[in-house]
Amino acid sequence: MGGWIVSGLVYGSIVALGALGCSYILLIQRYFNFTAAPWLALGAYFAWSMMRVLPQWRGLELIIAAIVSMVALGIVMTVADKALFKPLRKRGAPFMFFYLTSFGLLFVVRSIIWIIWGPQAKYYYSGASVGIKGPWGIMVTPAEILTLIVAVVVVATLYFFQYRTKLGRGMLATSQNSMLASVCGVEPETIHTTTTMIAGFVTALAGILYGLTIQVRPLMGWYILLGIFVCVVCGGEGAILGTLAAGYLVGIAEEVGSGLIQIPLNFWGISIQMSAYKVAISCLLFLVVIYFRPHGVWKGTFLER
Amino acid sequence: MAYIISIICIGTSYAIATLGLNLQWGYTGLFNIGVAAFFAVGAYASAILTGPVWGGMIGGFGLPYLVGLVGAVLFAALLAYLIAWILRLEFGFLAIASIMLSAVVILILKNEMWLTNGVWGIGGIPRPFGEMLSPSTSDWVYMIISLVILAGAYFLLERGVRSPWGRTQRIIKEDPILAEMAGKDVYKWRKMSWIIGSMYMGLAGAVYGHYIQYINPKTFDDVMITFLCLCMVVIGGSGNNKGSILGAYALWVTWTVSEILTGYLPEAWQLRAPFIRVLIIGVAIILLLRLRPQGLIGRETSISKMGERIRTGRVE
Repeated sequence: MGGWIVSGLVYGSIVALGALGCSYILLIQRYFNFTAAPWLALGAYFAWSMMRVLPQWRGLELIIAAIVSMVALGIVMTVADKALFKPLRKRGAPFMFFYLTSFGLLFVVRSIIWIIWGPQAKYYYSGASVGIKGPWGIMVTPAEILTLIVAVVVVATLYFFQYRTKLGRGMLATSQNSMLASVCGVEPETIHTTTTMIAGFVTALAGILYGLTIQVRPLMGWYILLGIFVCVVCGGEGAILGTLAAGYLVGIAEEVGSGLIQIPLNFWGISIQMSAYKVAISCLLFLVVIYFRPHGVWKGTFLER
Repeated sequence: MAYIISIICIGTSYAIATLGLNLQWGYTGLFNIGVAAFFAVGAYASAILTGPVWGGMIGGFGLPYLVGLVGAVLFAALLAYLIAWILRLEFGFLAIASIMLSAVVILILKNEMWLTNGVWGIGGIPRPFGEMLSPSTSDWVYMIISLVILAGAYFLLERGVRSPWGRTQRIIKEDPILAEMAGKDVYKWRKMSWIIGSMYMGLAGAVYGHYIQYINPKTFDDVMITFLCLCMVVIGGSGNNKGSILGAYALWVTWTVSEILTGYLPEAWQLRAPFIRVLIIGVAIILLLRLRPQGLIGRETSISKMGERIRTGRVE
């Protein structure tokens, strides 16, 4: 049980970081970003390539690789945004075009990853890492502890940025009424650039943490994309604390839920392996949330921010 | 020659699915990205009803082809009916819900051995008159049968969208609030369009499965089928049935011809050829969306000859 909760929290932290990027884009640009899946993988591969170049020294190479990859992904995403989505915004194109363009971009980026890095799975550090044993069957690796800490730190930083700086408050204003915000001196294109850059940072970080705890592979983003969307919907768009909490919710629901449902299934002798249906549990969570709390689970609580 | 027949047969099945998606997206404005789910359900339903038994799965009913088609349509409709309440959601959420539906359906197909023989898939799906004819003749016959099915599907849909029923669907896409004020139950009308469109997708899956004669979850995995169908609708011009069929064949021919072209790549790049094809399609769709957003043909501006005369002011 304890083990389930911890692995749920780790998975949830990664999902929450990926979801923050999606959530920002949903908040400012009003569409669900399907391209988040290959962007996440691209961030992880950038870091992997950096790690091959840098000499290994006490884990510092991982930090440098992560920072370089975050900045690189932020720049790549901003360029893609300016080249593909800015004309759509200018034209006031219907939503369908945003979705289709992000779909098309999904295939382009994914095939670029495949062409450059090949379909094999890759690892940041070879060899299995040693887990630390705790009570109640808890077993964590250092990478998982790092994931938990990084997620909290990133969320705290973003919270500070969003509610204590001028640019962050400009983002909130633009999301509520972009015309009024631009009258008050908030340049919409600056906001779009900032949003995409931040989305790039957190997406790359999610990819790196996923690669660190599991592995780096071309389809890695696609596997957690549904979890990311569930997390965005549960957390409420643009809610930073809420997204982290929703990430934990999704992770724990998948791990603990699949484990708990398995027990009566085994008892009655129904041969269904719930571990294969983890995604189905988060889909169920999505349906329940969208039915009862369409504006996010935390609407009206302090987690709404 | 066999190559051309294969392009036509598979292109036809895509064209049928695209017609269904065109009804949902082009006429009613439902953004369905779970096409793969209905396609897979249709293919599997037909294969289980008509095909042989593999492993421990149910089946071996040995029913005729026509029953397989009807079964595919009915099962797709059942799935659409069960999930229909997601139509109350708004645009993006409907998209997410439908992509989740397709993910769950693929998971079920992969894991439930007793129903679908898991990842090994179902082989030896019979074709109509398959045992009486030689393989090459059977290809010809199957091509004609699938074209007849496409023609029938097209005819029915054209009749539908040119009737008051279709006009209601159009107004729901343009302005749901106006439709509500005119006394139409928007949810009910959306549900009709959703179920009928899904039936087309199920039919397309059955046509596809009987041509390929072997299906496994990998065929429907990923978003490739969904993405191709969406692109086909957009390329042809959404809200135009002729455009959908044209778009389906155009994109499918491009897709297969790109396979021939990537065959000329140097040896070292051969392994990467499939990814280059995906890259080309992705770039093509992005460019098309930028340069020609209305599609090749574009949306029909009027629904009948009378309407065209009224619109252009030539009515006496």
